[in-house]
Amino acid sequence: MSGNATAELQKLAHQVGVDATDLGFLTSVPADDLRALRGQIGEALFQADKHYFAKVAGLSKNIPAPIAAKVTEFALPPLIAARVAELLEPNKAVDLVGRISGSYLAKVAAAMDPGRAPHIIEKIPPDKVALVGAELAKQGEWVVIGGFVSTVTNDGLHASVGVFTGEQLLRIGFVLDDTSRLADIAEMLTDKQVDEILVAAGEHDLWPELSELASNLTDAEATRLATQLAAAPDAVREAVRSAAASGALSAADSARLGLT
Amino acid sequence: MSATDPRLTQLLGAEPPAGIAALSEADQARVVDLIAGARKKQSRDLAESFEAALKHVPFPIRGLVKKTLLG
Repeated sequence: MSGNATAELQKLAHQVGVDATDLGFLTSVPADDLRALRGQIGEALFQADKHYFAKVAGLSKNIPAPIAAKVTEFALPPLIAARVAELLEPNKAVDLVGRISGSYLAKVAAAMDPGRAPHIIEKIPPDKVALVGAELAKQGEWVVIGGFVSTVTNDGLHASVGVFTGEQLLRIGFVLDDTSRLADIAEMLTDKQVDEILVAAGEHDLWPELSELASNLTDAEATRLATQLAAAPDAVREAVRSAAASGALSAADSARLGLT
Repeated sequence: MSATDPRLTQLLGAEPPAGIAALSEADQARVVDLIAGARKKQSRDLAESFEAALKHVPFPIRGLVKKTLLG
């Protein structure tokens, strides 16, 4: 099974609330079809209970934002807030986002379908995006973060990337909805984060994740990764070489990492 | 190749992707169970969430608010 299909199974499992290992019977399904199924399920889930959220969203139109923010955080469970947010007028939603805490916002984000609210997400200030990203990373919500990466602005992405460790970046990169953003992320990495990525791949056996990253880098960023690997401690270089020798990294990955 | 399970089309509101439609009858039924389970869980979570939210509404008007929101 390809890395893409593995990542899609993880995302599907997250959506339907089961463990990815329960979806083993879907390993023969192409990644594109798994992604399409996930989109259909997301729409079906949203439509099933939309009438509830529409009423709450309608009520919120008549409440001033400062009061609505306090009432929301105090009384509205994150699941309802997430669904309602997807129906709010963007300026009203962004005004609310600016007034509620990062920890509550992270819970709302975990219940949101970012693809349904790109008009809101793209207006969230970068510092708030980073705050929420850090909270979600603490909770190991890689699939959620991966979904948001497609819709946040470059400034928001830059602020978020700055708060993630190398291990977190590898895990997030593997489940990105939009893998083209891996190249954007790579350009934002510090040398320290690149070093952490190489160490984390060996320490946590994240070879499929490193492979996904390596195969989506620009030539310039791949060269940088290879340069950092060449300068890494012996144990790190040996772990990567062993992974390549065992087939955990493909020949193409090895070439991009400067091993051949 | 098995036929598409009609419950899948009904739950999704559209024809499933080709790779899902090509699954065996038993595996399509497992996908149906997954989707139905997710819908049930969402409905249950929402009902619990609304009940939790309503606890913050003063008792005398709780019924009215509940009727307004849930119909």
